[in-house]
Amino acid sequence: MSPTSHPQRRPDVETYVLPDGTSLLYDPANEAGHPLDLVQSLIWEYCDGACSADEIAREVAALAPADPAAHEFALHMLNELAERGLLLSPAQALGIP
Amino acid sequence: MSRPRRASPPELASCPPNRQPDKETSPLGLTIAGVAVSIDGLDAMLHPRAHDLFRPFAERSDRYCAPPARIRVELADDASRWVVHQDGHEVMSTADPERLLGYLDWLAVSLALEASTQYAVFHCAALVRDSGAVLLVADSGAGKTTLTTGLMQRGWEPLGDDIALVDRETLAISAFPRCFHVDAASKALLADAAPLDWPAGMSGHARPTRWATGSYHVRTIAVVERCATCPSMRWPILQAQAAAALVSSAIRNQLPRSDVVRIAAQVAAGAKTCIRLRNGHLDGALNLIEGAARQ
Repeated sequence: MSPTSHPQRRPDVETYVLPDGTSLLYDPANEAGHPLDLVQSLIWEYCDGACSADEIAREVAALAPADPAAHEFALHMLNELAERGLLLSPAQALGIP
Repeated sequence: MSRPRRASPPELASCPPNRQPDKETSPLGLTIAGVAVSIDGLDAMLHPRAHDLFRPFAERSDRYCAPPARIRVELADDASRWVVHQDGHEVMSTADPERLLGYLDWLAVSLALEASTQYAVFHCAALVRDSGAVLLVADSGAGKTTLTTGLMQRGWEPLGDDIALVDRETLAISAFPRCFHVDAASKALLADAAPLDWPAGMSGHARPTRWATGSYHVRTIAVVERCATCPSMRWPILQAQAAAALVSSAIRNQLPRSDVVRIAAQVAAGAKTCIRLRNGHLDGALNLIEGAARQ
């Protein structure tokens, strides 16, 4: 995923936020559940198409200033969400079938 | 208080092929997970055994004029074997009464759980003590039945060793009093004082001498993996990981999948403790479960 792309959640993926701050994502397309920890849940929340991948990563890094790897981790997580098919592809995000 | 005496498994009565058909008995009516199931065509030799096997589910058969799941057992034309029909189709035949009854147990339970709309069904063991339930989420062979029986010996009451029914509205679990399936390896691990009875003629089936009554909310979820050569250990896991494990263990039925996922998430959300348990040495694993349940 390019740092300039704007990741956007697939609208059909269900999100269940749990009391410990973690989330369960459910992908009805392949009936798979994906557990996310607290930081991953935050990244997922950012994936509304408004922010670029780099902006999301910088937001996450700002929340963990003591962690020099936070920016890289956020980008890695965005790539993983994309690889799991949980984000709209760039074409889908533009409404191209 | 004396421990319940463990009954010896009775010898399987022989059933020679080419026997004369016995007079057919009345249908065996069952209610499994709220679903009516009827088994017709059992002869006088099979009916009491099937009734014993399904005892907690048995109902008066006159309530079953049109059950959604109907199974019929017939003797083959040459009287050499029994043939099982479901919805008019032959689905199994055997000359071995134990195999026949084991298959009927599986078929009746499968049909009922598939037809159920009231419960989300998970492939888990569940037990209760002091009003809080523990769920043991594990694949087959990971030790659910052995752990369940071990916890029963420590005063826990079983809700099921293999199937957990979660009410879709209350999210509570009530007992699913199906016989435990005990293989030879598990049997060797069970102490003589295991609180189990053995239905007649079913060497691989055991029934707890008591079940939990009422319904309970889940307080502890343990995702169990077996490692016979490892020490038992546990790690805390996220509620989301417990929920995902529950989703993976869900058994399909008439409930929409999204409802099952919601229920799994809500059950995990209500749990105070979620752990991953490496099931090595039995006593160690039981101590770790009880420790998690006390948190």
